[in-house]
Amino acid sequence: MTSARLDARPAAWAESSALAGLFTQTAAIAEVELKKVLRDPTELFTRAVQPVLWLVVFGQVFSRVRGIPTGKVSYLAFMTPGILAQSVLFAAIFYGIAIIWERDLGIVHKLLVSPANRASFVLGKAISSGFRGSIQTVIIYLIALALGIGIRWRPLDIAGVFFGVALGSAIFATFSLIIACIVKSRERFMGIGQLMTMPLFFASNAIYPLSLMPRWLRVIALINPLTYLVDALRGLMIQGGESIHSLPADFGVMAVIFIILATIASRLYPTLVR
Amino acid sequence: MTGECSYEAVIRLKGATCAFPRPVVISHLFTPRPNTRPDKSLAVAFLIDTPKRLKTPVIHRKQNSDPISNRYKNAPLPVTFKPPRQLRRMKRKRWVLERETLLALVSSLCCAALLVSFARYEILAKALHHKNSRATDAMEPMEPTPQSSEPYAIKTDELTRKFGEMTAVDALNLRVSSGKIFGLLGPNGAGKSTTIKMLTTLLEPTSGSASVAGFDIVRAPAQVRRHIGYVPQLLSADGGLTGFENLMLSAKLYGMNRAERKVRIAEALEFMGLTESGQRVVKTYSGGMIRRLELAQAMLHRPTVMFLDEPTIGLDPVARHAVWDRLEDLQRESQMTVLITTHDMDEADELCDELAILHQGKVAAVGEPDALKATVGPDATLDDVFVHFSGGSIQEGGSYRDVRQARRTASRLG
Repeated sequence: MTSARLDARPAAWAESSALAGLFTQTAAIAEVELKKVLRDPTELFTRAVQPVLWLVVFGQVFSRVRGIPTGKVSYLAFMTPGILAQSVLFAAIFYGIAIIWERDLGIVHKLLVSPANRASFVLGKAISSGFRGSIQTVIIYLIALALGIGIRWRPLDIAGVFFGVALGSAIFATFSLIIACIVKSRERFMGIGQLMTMPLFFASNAIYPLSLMPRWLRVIALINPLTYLVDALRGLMIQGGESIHSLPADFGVMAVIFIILATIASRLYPTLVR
Repeated sequence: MTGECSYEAVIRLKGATCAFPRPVVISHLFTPRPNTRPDKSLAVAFLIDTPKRLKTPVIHRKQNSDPISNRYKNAPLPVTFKPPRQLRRMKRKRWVLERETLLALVSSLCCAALLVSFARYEILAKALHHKNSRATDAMEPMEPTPQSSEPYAIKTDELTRKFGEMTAVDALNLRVSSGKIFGLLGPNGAGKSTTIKMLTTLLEPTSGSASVAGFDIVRAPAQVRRHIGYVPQLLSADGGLTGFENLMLSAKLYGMNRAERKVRIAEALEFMGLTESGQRVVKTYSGGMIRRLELAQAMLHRPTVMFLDEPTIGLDPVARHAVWDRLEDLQRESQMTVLITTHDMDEADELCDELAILHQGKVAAVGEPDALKATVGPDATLDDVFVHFSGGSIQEGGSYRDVRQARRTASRLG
């Protein structure tokens, strides 16, 4: 190694622009996260246990109660998209704890000292969370197959399901990141995470339709992003399933929510190290 | 029982007449199960998806000869016949076409994103910014070369940071000459970490100003970040990745292109003596190896100023000397400025050209190690200097968090 080389600054600096940089950096962060997941995928498989319980135990029992109006489909088929959305929510909402862990290790400090765009840290995490969501989707598809639930096999529908899950997962991971940036400690985060998951789950159309809810709950459900995710999945995943809103509306609402949350999270991320 | 039925069917079940203009759709019905006593909840009907907005209908009870209806005729009607707002929608529009296009768009986007991020995203990035690359040659020399124009690599003027009532750094005036190794000493809570956080743009000062590598930390944080390297106090290399992948992440975040990344990472690994272990997961590294990896990460982009926060804390003597050697070689070859915080007087003596002792957010003493020793006494060591200038008694600082972090570092090193 020569001293001349030690002086040389990266050649790409002069030509790099904000957008290209954001793209490369986001991809770099997402890639690192994916590598870590794939190197140790136990977490992904343990996450599959909960949806199995919901569908096999809860679903089997509740499909005998014919009190829930599920349209043309059986209750089990009705709740399958809901359980997919729920498992995505439960996995993503605790994503922020990893950021607190990284903060305590000094990884966040090191990232923030680099000239990379702040938004790329948030977007990279969101993308990797979306990828984890896709693996959960595969698992739920397999469970549904085993339970004999009628699945729509059209490639476009399946692509829609994966995209919806990735978007939903990104939303909840970003939301979780925002909470992490505010509370900054693992203990407090666990408390708040536990506090958030159940209300988000129950105040949605995951396991019962909106029409059964009292008016106040329905209003809450309509500001809950999970409702839109479930609604989109219901129209795309199962045979005879119907979305209440149109798909563009569902995806549009989710996209807007994600952009808002990602903007907030990018602003808050640097405060993690203060 | 589910499905569409006419309005007469509703009446029959309820034993009542309703003034409906049109047939309604009943989504679900509770029907009396055999061998149970009938009660008022049995006749609940959910009405959804009516073709027209309904006003609350007039409900008539009707005497009729149907025995089942007669049994329930006195039961109160539990149904208000006012479907929820969302369900009062018109019949589903035909938006199949719309959905197809959306999905096609979405899936193609997905595929593009996947393709690009995993294989060739640089090509796209370059294509996007072809225009800018033409100006490359013109732009490079225009970047100020801080060493020549600025005698001080780090300069702070009345730099102050308050946390609520507590003043962590109090009107700090530091001058660090270019190409020197500068040591920042001081007891726990003296403001060393806060100072480093401000100089590395992690924390904004409450008042005062500072420049690093010739750039103002408040007005040009992006430029500052490009010209500094930073090794945090904790061993912060990502344990789940290999050494190579850690370096690759840094290289990408610092905006290097593909060719540069390859060359520089190989060089850095070799320089730090990590070539053989580059493909191993960092979890399996020793503390000294992680530290050297972090130095490699911090030097990839050839910083003008390097910040090291207690670089050898928790390392055994051999690892410590290895880190010092690498650091001194690096500094000599690149002529960069290094700012080190430390508690370790040996480290300060061994490495630093100049020292500043911080006490309660202020500079208590500054100078070359030998000069500082001379001010205290003829045979004074740096320990004596430290005790002399930092008050000598147990300080109020040294929060629980500092202790916890130090312990965690120690336990990580095993």
